[in-house]
Amino acid sequence: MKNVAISLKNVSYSYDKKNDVIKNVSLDIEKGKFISVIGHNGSGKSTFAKLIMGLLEPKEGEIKIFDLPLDGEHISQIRPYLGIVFQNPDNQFIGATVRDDIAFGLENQCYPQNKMDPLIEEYASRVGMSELLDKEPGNLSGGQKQRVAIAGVLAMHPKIIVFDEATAMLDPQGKDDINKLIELMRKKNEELTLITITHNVEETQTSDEVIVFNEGEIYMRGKPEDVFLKADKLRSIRLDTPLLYRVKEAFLSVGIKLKSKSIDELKEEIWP
Amino acid sequence: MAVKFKHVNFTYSPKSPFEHDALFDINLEIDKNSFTAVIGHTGSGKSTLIQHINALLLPTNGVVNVNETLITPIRFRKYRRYLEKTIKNKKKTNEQKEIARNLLDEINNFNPYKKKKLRSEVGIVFQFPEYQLFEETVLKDVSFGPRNFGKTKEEAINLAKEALNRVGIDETYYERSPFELSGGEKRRVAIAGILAMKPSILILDEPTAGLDPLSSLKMMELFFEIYRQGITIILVTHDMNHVLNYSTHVIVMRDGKVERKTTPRELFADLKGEDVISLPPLYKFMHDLVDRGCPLKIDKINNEKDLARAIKGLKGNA
Repeated sequence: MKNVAISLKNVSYSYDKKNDVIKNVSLDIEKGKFISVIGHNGSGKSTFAKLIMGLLEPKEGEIKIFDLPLDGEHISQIRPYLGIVFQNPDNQFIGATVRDDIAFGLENQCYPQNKMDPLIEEYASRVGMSELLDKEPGNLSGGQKQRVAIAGVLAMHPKIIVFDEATAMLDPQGKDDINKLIELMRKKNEELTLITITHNVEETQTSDEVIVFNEGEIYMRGKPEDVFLKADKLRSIRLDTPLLYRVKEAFLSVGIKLKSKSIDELKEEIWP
Repeated sequence: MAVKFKHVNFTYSPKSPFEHDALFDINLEIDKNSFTAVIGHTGSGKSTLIQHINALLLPTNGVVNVNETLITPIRFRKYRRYLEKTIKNKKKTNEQKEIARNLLDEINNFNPYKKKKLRSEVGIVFQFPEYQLFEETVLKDVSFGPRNFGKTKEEAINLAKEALNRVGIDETYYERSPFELSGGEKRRVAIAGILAMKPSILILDEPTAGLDPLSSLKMMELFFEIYRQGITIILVTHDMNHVLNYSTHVIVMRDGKVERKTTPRELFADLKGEDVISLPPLYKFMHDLVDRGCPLKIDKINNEKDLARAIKGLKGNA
């Protein structure tokens, strides 16, 4: 079980004690994987996220993080493993400058003051914010704010990072920035487990696995190519596939089979 | 034609330290029974523009013609005299005189607007319309508009029921308080409140802001259905997929001016990298193919299937 980062066993949850929004869900998420969770509002995906972050307690079943039960007894032991990036970048700022903000988490962990500056600078540079360290967070764009939030999370050395609709409020440029950063984080640290909860299917294509929630249950789970090839199954719950798969499907219907695994390959294949 | 802007300028707080020019010489026509999207950055004048259509804002200069009645900056006759004086005034430039002549032309051909009639003909759904609910019950809230515009209680209730039916709110909701509904339901009730006034022009200011993708899709399908029943729709939006999938015309605003008026397919075919819009993924993809030398006619393509057929055709010829 060493390689399992998150494990759910027969987990159910309800807000009103009548209707379960998570229905008897069991799953294991391996260490070092990048998982995308998609589904509509009310599908249970956000509740799932809150459960694994320890913000809600399951009504039934058990959740383990690195083999430790996620309960009142162990939560303080587990918390340092978990980093969370929330939806609204404005609600996550504490510091008066970008530097203070990244420092906050470290100070909380009683990190020695003299070692803090180089560390802050390192993480700021990882998210491309070195030049903006002494700016006020209020003057940053949405994408920049989320990058600062991510630097703050990274500086705590979490083993699991959950992005809870972290790109939903950003403009296309901001979304792109964050997705590139996620890619970079994966390359930098292969041990890091990343979970993104998202509405946007285009963002899920580079992940190792896609989990589709519907009506509180896991509706589909698998590699992106396996999930998105079943376009009809997704469309029956009114989710669509990413552009790559829609284009491949359309070409197949006129008798052209395409092999590409990314949009860039696809351009090359269609018009070399 | 449903709406015509002629030489419209608008200045917020004129002659004060907060004076700010928001619209510059807007000339624009919006056809009857069209679905027109208005796009542009925050601050480009989109909201200022639409508030002129039901006279929430009056032009600082110029006229707005809505359903063949005129909205003028000052009282109709006074504005006519002002324009006549401008034409005779030797200090004015020829261009100013020409504009005055154009405006006078409009004034001589149409009558002034009547506020109450205009407000019932032009419905505006503002952003987050659910904040505008106020009555004790859903039915009372929706029938408030028609009552206010002089319908009898019974007529108003019938109009309200019809409007609620249109937005998919059934009778089990009639006696409930609007405040205990879900966010999406509240929004539909608020929209029914506008529809109950039977407007011929419906203006929507980012009606899907804050909704999840499925609710947003359902909302847009509702507006498209209303459009097909013969109502002119003007939609302010940032969502290029909505522009692409529903609108018949697009107005691009920039810095208080109309940059262009076009159709969605033409817009996405030749306005690539422009920063006012972020292209829908399929269009971005097609532009990249064109950049690779693929002689694709983007304005002829509506969806992935069209693209597949077009590419097959091009390869067949090569």
